[in-house]
Amino acid sequence: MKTSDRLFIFVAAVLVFLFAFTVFQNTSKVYPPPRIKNVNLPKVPEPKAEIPEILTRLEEAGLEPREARYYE
Amino acid sequence: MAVAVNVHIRKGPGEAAPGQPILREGNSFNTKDIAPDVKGLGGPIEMLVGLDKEGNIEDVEVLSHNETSQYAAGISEPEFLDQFKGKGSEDDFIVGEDIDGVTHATISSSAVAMTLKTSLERINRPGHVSKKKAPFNLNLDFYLTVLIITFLLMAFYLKANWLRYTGLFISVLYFGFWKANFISMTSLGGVFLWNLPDFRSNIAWYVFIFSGLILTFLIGAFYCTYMCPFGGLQIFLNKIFKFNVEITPQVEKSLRKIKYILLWILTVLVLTLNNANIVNYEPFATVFLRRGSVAAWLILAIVLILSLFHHRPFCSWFCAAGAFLDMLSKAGRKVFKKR
Repeated sequence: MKTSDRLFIFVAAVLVFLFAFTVFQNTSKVYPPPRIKNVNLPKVPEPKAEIPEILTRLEEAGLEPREARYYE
Repeated sequence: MAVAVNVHIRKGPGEAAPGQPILREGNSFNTKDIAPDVKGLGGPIEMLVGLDKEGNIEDVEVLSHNETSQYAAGISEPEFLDQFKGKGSEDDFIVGEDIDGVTHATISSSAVAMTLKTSLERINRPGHVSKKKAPFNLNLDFYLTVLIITFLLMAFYLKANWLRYTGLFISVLYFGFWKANFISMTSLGGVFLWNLPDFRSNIAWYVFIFSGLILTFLIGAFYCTYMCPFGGLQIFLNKIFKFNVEITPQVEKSLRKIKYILLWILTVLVLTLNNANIVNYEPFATVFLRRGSVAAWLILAIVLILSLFHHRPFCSWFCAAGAFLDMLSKAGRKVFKKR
């Protein structure tokens, strides 16, 4: 085996390691799924409805509330 | 006090009280709950949307997406998302018309617009199906894509080297540096997972990807030899430097197996994890968008230096998408030989 062969094999090994590292990096970004923490919920300037009213309307519309949050 | 309520649809949007709004007045919703069927190349784009009392968008926040990071960085930025504020289900949400897309991220921009449009329609007018669809986006990009591919086909049939190099040079400039279009494992993964972007809005992308795949099946290694902008870049680097280092044929043969191994491993990853973006390892986006991680820049630097000493090293040894195209070309040869 020539020196140039060894050199190409070495460079190929380095590249394959970098590919694996990149894919691992991509995978670890996704699992667990990236969720932006402390998301600023879109703010509503004025109180629009009371919770019981909203829950009733959701119920009527065939939906179920999964989460309700208050904010100033 | 105001309240934000995230909901998921129990009966389906069409089955709620006809004509009655589902959500109104100061509510927010998660688009993945309302319109999970609208996709970019990496699947649905999850957004939190706040509505005002008219049911128009008050604010939008991108929560998560699986679009290729180098392309889609801009879709989470206020400069893009602020355009949607105040829009309602009566608006068109068409990229290039009432919405300015993010540069190099037309597919993701269209996916965001379509997701918001579909969600608003389902929330404000359940059961209503919009008759107005996005028009066929037959823009300059579409005509140039068709023109360049026709020129490359002509070069393929005339077998003239100067035509091939001219075509490749145009491909490097236009498909590469201008449009950042290429067949990669991520785009193939998107096709494998059937995460196909809206056809009408992204017709130039469909022409590029599917002409590459179909022509390779019909006439052989057309994409790799004539269309691939990264292949062209390596060829020109090698031609300029003119210093090829010989490799023993046996070593060369062994190195060529790497791309097939990569293809199988990455395909299994895409299919099992249901995510095409995780196999984004190629240096294509790094060079043509000038964006990438440290590892991505290192890969690009090594590949480009290697190209000075060897003919298309990435294509020959490491390109998993190239391995798929090679198999496609062989399958085509078998099919047409039998006939």
